[in-house]
Amino acid sequence: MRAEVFTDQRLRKQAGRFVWLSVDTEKAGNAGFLEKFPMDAWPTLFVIEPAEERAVLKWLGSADVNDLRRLLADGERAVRSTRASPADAALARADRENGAGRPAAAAPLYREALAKGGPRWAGRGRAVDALLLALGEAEDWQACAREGEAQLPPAARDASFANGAALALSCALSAPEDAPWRAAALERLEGLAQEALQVRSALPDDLAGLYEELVQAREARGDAPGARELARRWWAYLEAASGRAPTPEARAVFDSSRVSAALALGDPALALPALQGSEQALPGDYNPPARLAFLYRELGRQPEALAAAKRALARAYGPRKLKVYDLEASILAKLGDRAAERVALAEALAYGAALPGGQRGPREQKLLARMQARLEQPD
Amino acid sequence: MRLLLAALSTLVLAVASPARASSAPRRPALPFVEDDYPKALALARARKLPLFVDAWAPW
Repeated sequence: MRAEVFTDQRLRKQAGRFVWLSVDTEKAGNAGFLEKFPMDAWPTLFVIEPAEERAVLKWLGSADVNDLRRLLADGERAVRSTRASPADAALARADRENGAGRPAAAAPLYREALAKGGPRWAGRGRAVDALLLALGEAEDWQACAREGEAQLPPAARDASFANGAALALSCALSAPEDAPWRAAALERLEGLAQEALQVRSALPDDLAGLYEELVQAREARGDAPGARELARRWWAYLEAASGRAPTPEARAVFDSSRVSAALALGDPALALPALQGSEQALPGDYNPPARLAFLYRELGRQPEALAAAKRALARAYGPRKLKVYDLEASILAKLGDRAAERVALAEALAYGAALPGGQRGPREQKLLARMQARLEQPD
Repeated sequence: MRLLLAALSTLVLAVASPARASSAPRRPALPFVEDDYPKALALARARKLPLFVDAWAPW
């Protein structure tokens, strides 16, 4: 969004409606914000009522210009509780519940908004996506998948539909493999996701993510040839989309998908040139060398993997640096250098212990516990 | 929009989101306060405007 959406000059008219804050969650100075407004998806967009510091709208994931305009209108409504249709008023109540960190309580309110709004309600697409996000956050995978199957088929084939199809498919994939409803849901949702690939108004990186969900769905159904064929189409899409990207940072948006697609094709080396290009073009960014380290490790080229991991460590900051330490330790383990692995793990644990509380959430704690266990393993 | 819930990620580094632009980005259309919640909150209270927050990470 920073590269493509917030630079869109069509948004200038919105400037006076809000005070705008950008928060890099990796910076220690932002730990206080994270303590007040915890999050576990990136980006997360908030609308905050300033007098009482309440999040009245919380949106997980990115948004295009049109989505953002809608979010801003809904956020204003949720703050001001001004004149609103019954559907918009219910949506504002749902957003306030969700913003307060109660997605399970928000879900029935989103359903109420959808029922009151009817099929022609302008807020329908946003409300369906918000409902699916809330159910996903609440880890109610079956309800999320079912809502996707129920709400998406009659919807307009727009960016919200593409997003909803990806969300519902993600939910089905996140369910336990032995869930009795999962296989049939995956098959039905895969059909909707295939349709979503044709949506021209969807953000290119959303479509790249949708390919990934589809490949995983085919793998989950045991359709290895189908997954491989789709991965080939995914790679071709990424090549075309990144070829159209106007700036290095816009091209780098596709880097993570390139890594995943190359792995799905069983050819990690395929992604190396693009990642090397990103590292050259974005020398301050730790992501390209970290991804290169991962690819080299998968290729068994451990010395190159280690060098790339060290370059990434020199540039990384914040809680995500723990993942780079973890990667470095895994490479050292493959090299059979237990002493160096122990040093890397100890450094990571000391680094993690020094992070402010707001940056040491459940995910970081889990990772630190895993690294502690590896450190304590006998040689 | 793309869901980036960490819980859904299967690869530590391969499943991630857009990279941070470290070269000069294009001009933002909105007057963002960078990494200063207290300042933005005070501005929002003074102007009686809601606060919009883009919480992102360089991954």
